[in-house]
Amino acid sequence: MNDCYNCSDQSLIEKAESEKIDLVWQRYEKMKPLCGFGEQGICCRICMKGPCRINPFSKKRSVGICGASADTIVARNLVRMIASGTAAHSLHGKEVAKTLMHVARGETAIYSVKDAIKLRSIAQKLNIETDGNDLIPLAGVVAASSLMDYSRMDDEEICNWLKYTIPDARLEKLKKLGITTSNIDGSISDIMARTHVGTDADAVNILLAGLRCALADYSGMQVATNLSDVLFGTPQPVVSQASLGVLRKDAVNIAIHGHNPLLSEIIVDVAYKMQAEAVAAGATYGINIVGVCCTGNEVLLRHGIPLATNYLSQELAIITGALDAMIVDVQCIMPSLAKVSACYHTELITTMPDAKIAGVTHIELGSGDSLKKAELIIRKAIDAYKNRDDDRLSIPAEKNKVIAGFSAEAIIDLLGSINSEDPLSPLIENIVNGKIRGIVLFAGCNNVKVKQDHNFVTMAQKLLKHNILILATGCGAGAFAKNALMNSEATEAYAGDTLKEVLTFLGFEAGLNAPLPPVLHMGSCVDNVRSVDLAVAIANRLGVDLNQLPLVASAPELMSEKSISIGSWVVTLGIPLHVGLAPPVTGSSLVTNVLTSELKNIVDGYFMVEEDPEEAADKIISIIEEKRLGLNLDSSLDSANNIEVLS
Amino acid sequence: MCIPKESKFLAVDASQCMGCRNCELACCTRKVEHYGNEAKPGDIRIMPNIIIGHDGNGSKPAFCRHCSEAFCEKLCPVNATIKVNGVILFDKTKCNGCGICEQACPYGVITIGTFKINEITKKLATKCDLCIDRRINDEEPACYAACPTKALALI
Ligand code: SF4
Ligand code: SF4
Repeated sequence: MNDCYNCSDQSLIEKAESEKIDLVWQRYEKMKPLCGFGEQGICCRICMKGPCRINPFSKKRSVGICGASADTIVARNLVRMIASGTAAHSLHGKEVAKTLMHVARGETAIYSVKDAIKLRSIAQKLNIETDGNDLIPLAGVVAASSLMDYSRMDDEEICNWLKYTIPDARLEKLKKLGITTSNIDGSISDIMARTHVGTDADAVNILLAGLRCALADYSGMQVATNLSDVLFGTPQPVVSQASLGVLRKDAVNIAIHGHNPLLSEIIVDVAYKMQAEAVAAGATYGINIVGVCCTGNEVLLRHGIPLATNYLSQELAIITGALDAMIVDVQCIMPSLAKVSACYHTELITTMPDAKIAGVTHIELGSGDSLKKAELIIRKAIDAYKNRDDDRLSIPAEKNKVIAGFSAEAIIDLLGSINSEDPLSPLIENIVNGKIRGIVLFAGCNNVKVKQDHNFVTMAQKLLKHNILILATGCGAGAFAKNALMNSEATEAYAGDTLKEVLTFLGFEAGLNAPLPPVLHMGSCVDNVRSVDLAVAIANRLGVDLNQLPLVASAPELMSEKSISIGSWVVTLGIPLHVGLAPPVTGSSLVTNVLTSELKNIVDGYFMVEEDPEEAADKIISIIEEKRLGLNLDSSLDSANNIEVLS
Repeated sequence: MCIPKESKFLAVDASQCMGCRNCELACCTRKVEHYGNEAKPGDIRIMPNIIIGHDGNGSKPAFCRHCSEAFCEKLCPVNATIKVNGVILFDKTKCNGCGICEQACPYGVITIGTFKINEITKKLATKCDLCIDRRINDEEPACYAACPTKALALI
């Protein structure tokens, strides 16, 4: 069996094998068998009396040394994953907000407000007086109002980025459940405190706190995405290319990898200015910046920079032998890159004080001399290029066209060219008349337990055939970009007849002279909130709550703690979520049951675990038809007895 | 060598194996304790004699069955095997570490370890002895004692 759906990735795996370089797939094989206690979430390492494991086969109810049951242990472990995911996203958001504050105070020469319109619309959204406020002071107020979400002391209040961004009905529901949050950082420490040994032992209470923390994650992601747009511009449709074929033999190839646009933007700016140096070193094309993971998505959307690869195949970028430097910031950077890059001429450079790798060159960006440091980094890449061994070069030929940059604003602008009075109407009309059956948001990572990208591609092809429009973010978007599902040709090849008709119409009306792609790239994983913004706009326009929309989310190859926190707020906002692997909760039937069914009664959203991508697509289709029925739209489910009459 | 009269043997219920490898660790830990006085770190390469495999459906321990017509017994060129009360053991003084038994074992649970004896590094075959030293003290085999789900049984 292949490890990757993508053939050019697969060919590089074989190259690594012949060079005796271990990659993630071999390390996984060597790690097998994975410990079943950990997989089921019933291993507790919270105190030093343990570690304890619960015997899932014991006739008597087995408990930890302190008496904690499987339910308590599983719930505690799960919410700690949510807290970690929340911390990762919201720290990213906080850095961006602090940078905006520095801009407002005139403390930085590197960054500026690039998107004034977005700044004003955010101010409006957050209920901030915009009249008479000049741009720069307004940036200060917006930054302060965002940073307030990290520091508010009054528990009764609600984070600005939560209360002003979701439908009223949803907000009321969350308030009633007592799971709104007033302070993002506070919600994270609440989780750590209540999961300390001998504190919260009630699994349901722990899970509710987990949902609150997940809403803090949502708020932090809103900050990260929106304020990044202010600083770097809101993405607009852009054409580029994806897959490892974007590396060039005649260029100094530099990959930027990680998540935070604060750093990648500097590198991109400085690299443009240093083209001549690269040419002088013999690289006729100059410098070729490519993206990996979500930094890749950020710069793809804002600058049209090609995307080399997504999470699981990050090591393969080095195995091409063509990568001269890989510059990384935070999150999803495999520590193995150090060893793999040491097998080649590739310079690996870490740039963040909180994300170093032992033995790897560290050049810190982010302070006043960032521009100089960035120059130094690029110069190291150019030097490395001179050591490239052409005999070990293997750049796959495959590269696929990508149309990306579909921020909520971009989609609404695009639709506005058809009906400027009511921009959402073309989309809504087509959902109502059934030409678009519904919308699925694909998000999340790759996981070595699944053949890379396979679940994404298989599910998308089936859903598109059923006239379901697809949005994508994060490494899910990376999978679609790499595998040619984000261009007009994909619409011709995979979209069902009515979806194709709509996408073709929209594409021509919007002046693209070709159909819109069937999978719309909305950004990095932190940008999942963009799809919420779009969904909220539709829900508000229809006067319904999010759970009523024919909208389903899916993370078919999830891996990180961030994916667990995102998944948790997705369901808390009322949206059903498919996951392609069971999270580590199956050791507790109570927790499993809450997540997969009870949640539906409380917050309308719920987790649906389905490993088979074909089956998963079928299940998603029937959820969408069920939601259509609920809205009195035509549905393949018979309204009288709710059974499927068409397939 | 003193062996309890009634040897109990290991059995497994694979459906209850969690793949935690506690048994492997316990097997090695006992060996470390055993050789601890004789060796300093780096002198010995220690391998478990219960080995967890994975077949896609789950994990399953492989361990010595002390076969009645054992290949290791039949093929050992220096006749280093001893059978006491049905338990197959290796005689350290005869074994020359050739590794034929390792290849012959249908369960793949004979491993070749390195040992430093009188400043000379020697290879020796190691296999499950059902923890004879522990049995004498009325203790269970280390792997069995360590298995948290009792996927391993003594029969
Ligand atoms: S908190 Fe309880 S279950 Fe966890 S390790 Fe300590 S004693 Fe064991
Ligand atoms: S200790 Fe028991 S459950 Fe763990 S791997 Fe060994 S046999 Fe399986």
